[in-house]
Amino acid sequence: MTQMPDGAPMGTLTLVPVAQIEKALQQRRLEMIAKEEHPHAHTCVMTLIIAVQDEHDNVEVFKTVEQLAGKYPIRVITVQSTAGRGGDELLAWINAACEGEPSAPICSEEIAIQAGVDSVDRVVSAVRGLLVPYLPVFLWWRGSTPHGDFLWRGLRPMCDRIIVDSILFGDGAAALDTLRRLVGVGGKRMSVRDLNWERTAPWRAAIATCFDDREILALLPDIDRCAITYAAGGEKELPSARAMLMQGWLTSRLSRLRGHSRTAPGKSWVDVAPGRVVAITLTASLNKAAVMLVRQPSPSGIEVQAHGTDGGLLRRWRFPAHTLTQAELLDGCLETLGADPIFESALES
Amino acid sequence: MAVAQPVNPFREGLQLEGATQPVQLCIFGASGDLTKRKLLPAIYNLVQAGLAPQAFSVVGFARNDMSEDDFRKVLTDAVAESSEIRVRDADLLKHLCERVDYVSGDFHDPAAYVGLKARLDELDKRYATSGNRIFYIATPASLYGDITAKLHESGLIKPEHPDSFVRMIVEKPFGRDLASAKKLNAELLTYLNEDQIYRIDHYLGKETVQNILVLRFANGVFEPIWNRRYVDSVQITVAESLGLEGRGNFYEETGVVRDVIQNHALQLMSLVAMEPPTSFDARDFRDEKIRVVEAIRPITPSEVARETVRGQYGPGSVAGERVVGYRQEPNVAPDSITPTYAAFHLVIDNWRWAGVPFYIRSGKRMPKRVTEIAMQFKEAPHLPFRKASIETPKGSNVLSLQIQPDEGIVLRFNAKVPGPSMRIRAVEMDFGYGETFGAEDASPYERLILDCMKGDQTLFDRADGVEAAWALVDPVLTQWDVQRTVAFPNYDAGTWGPADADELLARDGRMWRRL
Repeated sequence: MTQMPDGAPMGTLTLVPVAQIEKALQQRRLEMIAKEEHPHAHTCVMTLIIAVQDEHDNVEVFKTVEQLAGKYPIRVITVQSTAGRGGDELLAWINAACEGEPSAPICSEEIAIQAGVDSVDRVVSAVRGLLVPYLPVFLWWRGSTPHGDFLWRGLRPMCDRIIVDSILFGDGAAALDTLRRLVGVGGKRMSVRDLNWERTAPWRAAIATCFDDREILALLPDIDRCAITYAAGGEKELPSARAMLMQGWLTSRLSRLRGHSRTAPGKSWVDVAPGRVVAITLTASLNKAAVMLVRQPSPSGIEVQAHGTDGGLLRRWRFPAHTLTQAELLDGCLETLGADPIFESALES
Repeated sequence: MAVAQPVNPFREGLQLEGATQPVQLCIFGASGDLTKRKLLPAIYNLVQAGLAPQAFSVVGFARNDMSEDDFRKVLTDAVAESSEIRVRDADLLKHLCERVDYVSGDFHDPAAYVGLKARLDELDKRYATSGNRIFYIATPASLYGDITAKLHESGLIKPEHPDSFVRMIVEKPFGRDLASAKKLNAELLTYLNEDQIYRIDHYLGKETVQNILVLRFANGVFEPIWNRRYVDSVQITVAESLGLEGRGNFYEETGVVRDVIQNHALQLMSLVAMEPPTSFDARDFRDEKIRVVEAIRPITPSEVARETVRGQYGPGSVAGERVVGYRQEPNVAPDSITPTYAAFHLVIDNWRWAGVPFYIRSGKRMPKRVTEIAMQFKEAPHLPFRKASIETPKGSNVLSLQIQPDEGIVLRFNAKVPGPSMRIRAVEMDFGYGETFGAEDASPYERLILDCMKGDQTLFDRADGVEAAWALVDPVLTQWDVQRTVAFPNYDAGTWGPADADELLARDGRMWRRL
C-alpha cells in the first residue's frame, strides 16, 4: 500500500520520510546532474499545491501535472487527506523530472503527501516548510465546497491564489454563493479563479466578436433580453453554475439585461455534459433584433446568426470550438496573479 | 448632429487575452519567400493560439498568376514545413484556409487595385471584418511609394468608417541611406498618418529583446548601477555563422552596416541605454529610444578610420566545415568591397553614459551564431586580497544579456575557491529562458502582427527613429565608399573578425569578449 500513492503512474515516485523530502529532492537532482539529465542551475517559478479529493481523483491530477510540468519549472505538492487511511499516518513521495529540449530542459519537482484525517495539522506544517521561498503559491482545490474543511483552513493562509472548479460545488446558486464567499474571504491578498468560468471563454469571445461588427453593435441599444440554455441532465434538473456565470457576465456588461435574463435547461445532448451552455440568445423587446449563438455538435463550434430590427438576417458566422483540457484551463489560471475584475463583476451580478 | 457609436461592452477583459478587433490582413508580395517562411506560419500560430480575432481573413496580393487554391496550398505547405508551428491542427488549418483568398495583379497597374478593392470589400462583408484592414507590404522597399499611392488612388487607404482602421506594415530596410530613408518616409506620409505606419524590425519582436526593458525597469537592483559611475563599457555582438545562403545579389547591395548595424544593433543599443520612459505607450517609449540614438556622438569623416573597422571574410572553416570566402560566393563580384564585418566604437553624449564606450560588432561567418549585450562593470576600487590568486580578473563583473541562440541572462562575478587559501575565480549565475519558461516563445512576426492588429506601435520604428539611425551610419558608409582601396578579405571565415577590430579595443586597454 505504501509503495506508491493511489493513482500515481507506476515507478514515478519514491517513498521518503516526510522530514527528508528536501534532502531527497536534492539527492535526486544531484543524481540527475551526474547523469546529465538535469542542468546545474535549479529554476522554479511557483509552488502549486493540489488538494486532491480522493484516490480516483489522483489519476487525473497526475496526468494534468505531467502536462503542466512540461511548461513551467514548478514544485507541485499534492495533498490528500483520506478517511480510509490510518488516523495519524503521514506518507510522502517525491519525484524530480525534466522535460523538453535537452538544451533547455524544464525541470519540476513533485511531492505527494497522503495523510489520515487526523493528521491534517501535520500535513499543513509539512507543506508550509516545503514552499519555495519568495515565489507565488497557488492552491488548486479539487474538492467540493471548501468552507469548513480543516485542510482548507490550514492551506489557505499560505496561498496567493486559489483555483477552484465551481462545477464541483453543487447546483448553480450554491456554487455561485460559494464562489462569492471565497472571493470575499480572499480580499486583496488572495485572488480566486474558477475553472468553470474559464470554460465560458469561447462563448464570451464569440459574443464580443459579434459586437465588434459595426452593424451588430448598432443593434446594441435595442438589446434588452437574454436567455441562456444549457444541456439538460435528467429528471431532477438543477440550475447550471456555468449558465449562471454567463448570465452574470452578460448582465454585468449590459446592465439593462438585469431582471430580463434567464437560464433554462434545453434538451439533453449525447456528447455534451449536463450544465454546459448550448445556446445564448440576445433579443430586443421592441423590435426583431436578435443575436443567437448555438452550439454545433460536429464539427464542434458555435454558430451565430444576427438579425436586424426587421428580423432580416444580417450576419452568420461559425466559430470553431476548442475544448480546453484541464491542463489548459489550469494553465490559464497560473499565467497571472491578481484578481480578475470581469469574473468578480459577473459573480456579483 | 453625429450619433455616437456605442462601445462594445463585451470586449473588456478579453483584450488582455489577446483577442483583437475584426480585421482583414492583405499581404503584398504574397508569393514571396517571407510570406511562406514567416508570415503565414505566424498567422496560423496566432489563430491557433486564439489570439487572432475570430472575424478575420487573409488576402494575398502579388503578380504571380496563382489561384486561391494555390495560395491555400502555400499556406498548407508553410504550416507543414515551418519549424515555428507549435500545434498542427487539421481542422484549424481548414478553418483558416476558408478565410484565405488571393488576388493576382501588377503592383503598378491601377486596374489591379480596383479588382483588389472589390474583392476586399466583398470579403469584408462575408467575414464581418468591419472595414478594418492591414496591408502587409512584403515587397522590395523601392515599391513602397508606388503601392501606397495606388492604394490611396483606389480608396483603400481611407478607413471605411470613422471608427474603422487602415494600417500598413512595411519591412526593413527603410532605405539604403539617409536621403533614401527620408524620401521613403515622405512618400508614405503623403498618404498615411504616422500612426498608420508600422515599420517592422523583427528584432524588437523577440521576447529576450523586450526582456531587456523588463530587466532594467521592473527591477530595482539594476537601474541604480546602470550608468557611467559603475559601467566600464558595453559590448554588443550580433554574430552569424552563416554566409550568404544564396542572397549574394541582396548582400552586395546591402553589406553588414545596412543589414544589421543600422537597425538591429542600434535597436539593442538604444534599449540598453535609454532613459526610463514615463510609460510604455508607443509615444513615450519611442521618444526615449530615439533620444539615445540622437545623443550618440556622430562619427565625422576624419574619425571613420579610427572609430570603425570593416572586414570581409575569406575562405576558412566554420564548425568543422570548409567554406568559401565572400568573393567566391555566388552573385558576388570577385573584387567586391562589400563589408561582411563591422565594428564601431560609439559614445553617447548624455549625463548617464558620458565616457562609457559602446563597442558594437557584427559579422558573417563568425565562429558561432550569437547575439549578446555585455555590460562590463568597473572593478572593485580596492582589492584587500593581496595574496590571492585571482583568475581572469577582467572576466568578472559582467552582466550578459543573451539574445540568441540561448536566451538568458548571465551574471559573472568573483567567488572564493573552497580551500584554506584565498583563491578567487570568476563564476557565473545563469538564468536560462528556456529552462524557466519553456521554449514556446511566439515568433517575432507573431508578436508584431498581433501588436499591429491591436494598434500598438511601441515595438515598431518611427520615421524620426529610422532617420536618426541613418544619420549616424551614413557618414561611415560614405567615407568607406570614398576610401575604396581596402585589403579585403581581411579575416578568415570561422574567426572573430579582422585584427583591426581587436586593435579598436586594445588601444583602450580592453578586449572583445570571447563568446
